[in-house]
Amino acid sequence: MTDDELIAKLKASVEPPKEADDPRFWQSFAADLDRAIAPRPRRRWPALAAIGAVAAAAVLAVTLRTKPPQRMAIMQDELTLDADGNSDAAELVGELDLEELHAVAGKF
Amino acid sequence: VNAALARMVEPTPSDDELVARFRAGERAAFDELVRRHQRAILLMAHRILRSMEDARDVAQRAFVQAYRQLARFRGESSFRTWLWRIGANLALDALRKRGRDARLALVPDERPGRDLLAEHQLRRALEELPERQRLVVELRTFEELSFREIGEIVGSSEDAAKMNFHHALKRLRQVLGEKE
Repeated sequence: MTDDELIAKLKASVEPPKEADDPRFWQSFAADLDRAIAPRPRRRWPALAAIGAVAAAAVLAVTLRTKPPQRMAIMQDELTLDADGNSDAAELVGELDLEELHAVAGKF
Repeated sequence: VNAALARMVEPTPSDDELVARFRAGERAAFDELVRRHQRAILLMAHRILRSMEDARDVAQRAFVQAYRQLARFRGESSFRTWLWRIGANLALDALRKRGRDARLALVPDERPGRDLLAEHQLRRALEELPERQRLVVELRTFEELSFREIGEIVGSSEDAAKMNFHHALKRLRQVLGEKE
C-alpha cells in the first residue's frame, strides 16, 4: 500500500459530524463563545460590604467624638474621685476643711 | 456605484489584517477569525476525541484562549498555526484526561459500501500511535498542512515533522498487517 493509498483510507475512515453542517449549531457555538469571552459582571456585594463597613466605622467615630458613651463618663467621674487613691467619696469630703466644703457646695 | 463596486471587489482581509484590527479594538475582526477557523478546529478536535460534546468544548476553549492571548501574539507564526497549536494542545489534554480506554467507540456508519471493521481498525491503529505522530498524521492527512506548519504546531522542526509522519505511516502499515 502506497502512502497515498493509506492516506486515502484514513480520510475515508472519518465522516465529519453532521452538526458541523448545521447553521444552528454554529449560532449556538457563537452565542456560547460570546458569553465566555464577554467581561464578567463584577460582583457587587464585596464592594457594598466594604462601603457599609467604612460608613459604619465613620458613624461610630463621629458618635464617640461628639457624645462619649455614658459608661465612659461615669468612669471618668470615678477616676476624678479616685485621683489620690481613695475609693470612698465620703472620706474625701471628710478630709475637706470648712472653707473647701463651702467652695464645693457652691459648685452645685 | 463606484463605492459599491469598490466594496464588492475589496479583497478579503488576511488573518494578519484581522488580528491587527482586533488588536486595534475591533471586536468584529475576532468574530471573523472565529468564523474562518471554527469548523477546522472543531473537526480536528472531533477526530482526536471522537465526541462531539468534547470537541465542541475544546473548540470553545481554544477560541476563548485565543481571544485572551491575542494581545500577546507576537506573529512569529501565522495566526492559523498559533490557533491550531492551542486547539491541538487542548484536544490532547482532554484526551489524556479522559484516558485511553474511552477513546474510540465503534460508531455505526450509515454510508453504504463501507468496510466498517477495516476502517475501525485503521482508526484504532491511528489512536494507538504516540501522541506527536498521531497529531502529525491528523494535520497532514486531514488538513493538508505543510510540514513546516505542522512542525510549528507540534513544536518540532520541519524535518522532525516529516520523520514523524513517515514513522507513523510505517507503523500504521504494520498494524494493518503489511510487511515492509
